[in-house]
Order: sequence, then C-alpha cells, then structure tokens
Amino acid sequence: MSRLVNGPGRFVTPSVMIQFSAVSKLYPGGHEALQGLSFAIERGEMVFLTGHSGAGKSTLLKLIAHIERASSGQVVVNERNLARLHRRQIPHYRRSLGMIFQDYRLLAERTVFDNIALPLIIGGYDEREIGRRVRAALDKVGLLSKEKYYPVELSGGEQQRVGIARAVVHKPALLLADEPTGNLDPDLSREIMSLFQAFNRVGVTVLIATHDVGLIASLPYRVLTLHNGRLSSGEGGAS
Amino acid sequence: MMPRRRAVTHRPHAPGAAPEAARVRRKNSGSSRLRRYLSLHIQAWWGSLGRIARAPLASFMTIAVIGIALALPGTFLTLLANMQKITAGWEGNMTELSVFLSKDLSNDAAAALTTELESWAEVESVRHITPEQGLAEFQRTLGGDDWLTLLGSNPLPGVLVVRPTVEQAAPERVQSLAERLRDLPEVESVQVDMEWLQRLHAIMALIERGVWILAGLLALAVLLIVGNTIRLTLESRRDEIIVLKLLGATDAFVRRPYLYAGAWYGIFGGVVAVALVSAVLWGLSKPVAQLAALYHSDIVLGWLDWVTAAGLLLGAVVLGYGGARLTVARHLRRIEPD
Repeated sequence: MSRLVNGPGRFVTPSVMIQFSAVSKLYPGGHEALQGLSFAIERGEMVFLTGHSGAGKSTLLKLIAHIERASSGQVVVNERNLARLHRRQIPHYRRSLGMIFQDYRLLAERTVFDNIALPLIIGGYDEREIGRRVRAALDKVGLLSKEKYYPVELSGGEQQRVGIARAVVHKPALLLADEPTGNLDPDLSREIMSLFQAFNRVGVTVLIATHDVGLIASLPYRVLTLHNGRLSSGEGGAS
Repeated sequence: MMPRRRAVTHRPHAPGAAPEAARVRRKNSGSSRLRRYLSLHIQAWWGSLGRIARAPLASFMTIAVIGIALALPGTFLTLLANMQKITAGWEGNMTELSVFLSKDLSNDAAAALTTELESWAEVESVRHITPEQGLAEFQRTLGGDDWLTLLGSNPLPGVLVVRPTVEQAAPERVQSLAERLRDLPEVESVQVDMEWLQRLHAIMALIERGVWILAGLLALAVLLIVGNTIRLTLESRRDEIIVLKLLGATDAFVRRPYLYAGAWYGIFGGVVAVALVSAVLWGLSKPVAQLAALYHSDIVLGWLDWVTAAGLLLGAVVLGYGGARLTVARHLRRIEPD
C-alpha cells in the first residue's frame, strides 16, 4: 500500500509533516470544537498554535496524537492517514511522536532516568542503548546530575525539562507540546522555548500550543490562531 | 551475554573469518531481539513483585484470602485421601467371601481346591473350614450338649473363606470374584457381606464429590478476588496507564505487569495454602493418634503429599493469572487518554 495519500483534490507531498483537510470535530452533546480546518505544516517547521482557551488548541493536538478522531475531514501526519489507523497500529504511530504536557505527566514513583527511559523501554531498545540515549537527552536539557532524583524533588521547570527529555529521547520526527510553559514563570518559559528551538534547528518539526502570546511575539515562527474552532483569516496552508 | 558472544567468535576451529563474522551478526540480531523480549518480561515480572511489596497490607489481605480459600479444599482432599487409605486397609482386612462347598465334596478335594484358589492372582489367602471344624466352632459358640448326637449327622458343608488381595477389594471386583467362584462345580454357593462396603464407598464418593464442588466454588472465589484486586490496582494506576499509552505502549506492554501481579498473588496464595494445610494436619495429628491408640490401631495421619502441594501451587498460579487476565482484558480498554 502506498503511504502517499490523496487528499481532496491534491497530492500530499512527503515534505509535509501535518496536513489537515476540512477537519471538523464534533463532541457528543453537540459542541463543535473544530470546524472545517485546513492547513499544513512542513517538515522541519516550528509552528505556534494560539487562541483563547476553548478555541480548540487541545482538540487539534489530540487529533494529531490520535487521542481523538476527526468527525469529518482528513488528518494526515507523517504520510499516515489517521482515519485509516487500526487500533493495533496506534502505539507504533504514537512512538513516532514526542508529546509534552502542561502538567508534565511524569510517573511519580520512577526516577528521572526511568521516566526518560520509558519510550525506549516501550520501543524495546537494549539496556546499553537506553543508558546512552537517556544520558544524551538529560545532557541536552541540562539535568545530567539529577538522573537519580524523583520528579517531586525537582522544580516545575526541571520537571518540564524531564518531560521534554522524555519526548525527544527516542528521536521523534514531530514534537507536540500542549501549553508547555503554562505552569512556569517567564524566565523558565523562555528557557523551555529555547530548548524547542534547539531541537527544531536539528530538523525536528515542532508544534506548540500556547496562549502566551507575549512569549511567542518575539520569535520568528509561524503562528496559527484558532478562534471558535476556526483558523483566523489569512492563515492556512504552509505553501 | 558477553561471554557467550566471545565464545562464538573465538571458536577454535572456526572456518573462514568473514562468513563466521556474518553468522555471528545474524545470530546476534536474532538473539538480541529474543533477549530484549525476555528482558521486557523479566522487568515486568520483578517490577510487579516490587509493586506488590510496596502495598504490603492490601497484598497481604489478597494473598491471605487466596491462601485460605485454597487451603479449605486442600485440607479436605488430604483428609479424604487419608480416609481412603484407611478404608482400603479395612477392605483388604475385612472383606471375606464365604464359599460353601457341595456337601458330597471330600475334605481332600476341598483341600485341593484350596490350593488351586490360592494360586489365583486376585486371592490373598484361603482358609479351609472342614465340616468337622465348623461343627466344633458351632458347638463352642453355642456351648451345651453334643450337637452331633442330637442332629444325627453333621449338616454343615465345607467352607472356604477366601480373602481377596487389597487391589481386588473394591466392591465391583469382589463381586466378579464371587461370580467366578460360584461357577466352580465344587461350589454350592458364595456369600459376600458387601453391603457395608458399598455404603462406605457411596459415602466416600459423595464426600469426594462435595469436596470438588466446594473446590470449584472456592476457585471461582479466588478468580474474583484476584480480579477485584487487579481492578483496584488498575484504577489507582490510571494516570500511569494513560501516560504509557500516550508514549506508544502496546496493550500487551501495559497489561504485562498486571498479569504477572496476578501470578504472584497466586504463587504467594498457594504457598500460604500449603502452609495452612500442613498446619491443620499437624494440629489434627495428635488427636488422631490418640483416637487410633484407643482402637489399638496404628493409623497415622498422612502429611500433605507433594503431588497435592504442587497441585495447590499450580492451581493457585493459574487462578491468579487467570483472574488478572479476565479483569485486565475488560478494564484496560476503558482506560484511554482523553
């Protein structure tokens, strides 16, 4: 089966990482979180997703992470049409992503090292490779000295850096971050952003949902603004 | 792992170096996949033990309930086995067939028949009671006058008292032995007092059936107990399960530690059950010995034999794993990221 997918009326080229074509999401109860959304994000791009709370940022990320399914339209990520993803294929698909959460979602009873190692253990890497990669990821986020700590012993900024290390340790092509700086002060937020920029510089596609408009105003990246489940005018395809 | 790899590459009479290296590479890629697979399982295996140890009270309660639930049928089955052993002894000692011979059979012919019957495989021993001995016995029992002058002639036939071997002492076997004896031309009739034996066997069969039904019910209880414990564990680890699923863990990966936890509960529960059964038997052994002494018997209460013990352990592990499997299959699907 070809991994290239025909969208409505056009051919998706492999240079596109995320392609939304007329995507709507209707929740049970009638709330329409996304309405006819179409846009594309190129491979290697770094894009911010903003909008007031309830505008549909989280829903959009959930569609990409295949936590939710689109009610209509087509979501293609990394040449995979998510509507055709079988339940058994979901784990393997998610391993191609790195996800970062506002509340970090670290496992409290595991050390920093073990938390970061999780994606590699899940992926079946061998022990030596795990040790090497986890330390490399810890080094990148500047926490090499804290591998034996437990999450509760770390500050919020440090916990989020552990979260980021866990998201990149298996070298995903796409990083998704949902309000990664939501619980952090401005200095820490800038620090976290510069981490994302560093990953983007080495070719990782990054999509960050944030309502912190002040933080991203000074940064030279494309911004998608959601308003009541639609993109604000003038923002659409990447090309 | 390292020494093994070295052993392969340094094999003394290795053929060409290059093909050998290729073979080693292939072998490693195959065996390393197996190794990773095994190490995932080993991690889940010990990891689940660690979690059980971290919640000692809840785990102890579950293990104790499993242990008690399995100790009940375990104890009954052991006692039943003891009873069967004892009554098998009775059957061997107490089952006798009285073979009444034709009146015109001479004592010599009867003695010859005795010898013949003694050679049968199913016969333990044969005692020949001549009419004269029978009359003497009769007289001794009833006492009084000379019965022979009273009766004129001895009315008693010769009797062979046949005792079957222990293996042949089961009621249906005894019955067929009686048939065979009855068919002999020298034999007038055969009497077996089988009724008590048949009743005893019927009672034993009833008890055994009852114990197995009880065992079945308690096994069901163990399934439910383990299932419930695992369900509570799953609920308390909801966040962790969601994170694992978000990170791309397969259902099998998420499931594994809980299935192994069920198996651990089973193992520990089985050990508790074996200990409890042994304790009960130990507690009963003294009164049983006293009772036996009063009956001048040397009956000793048998210990839990290793087959029963192994069966208890195995059953416990299967039930623990099975209970976990049933629950995990149903509940894990419901815990999804939202």
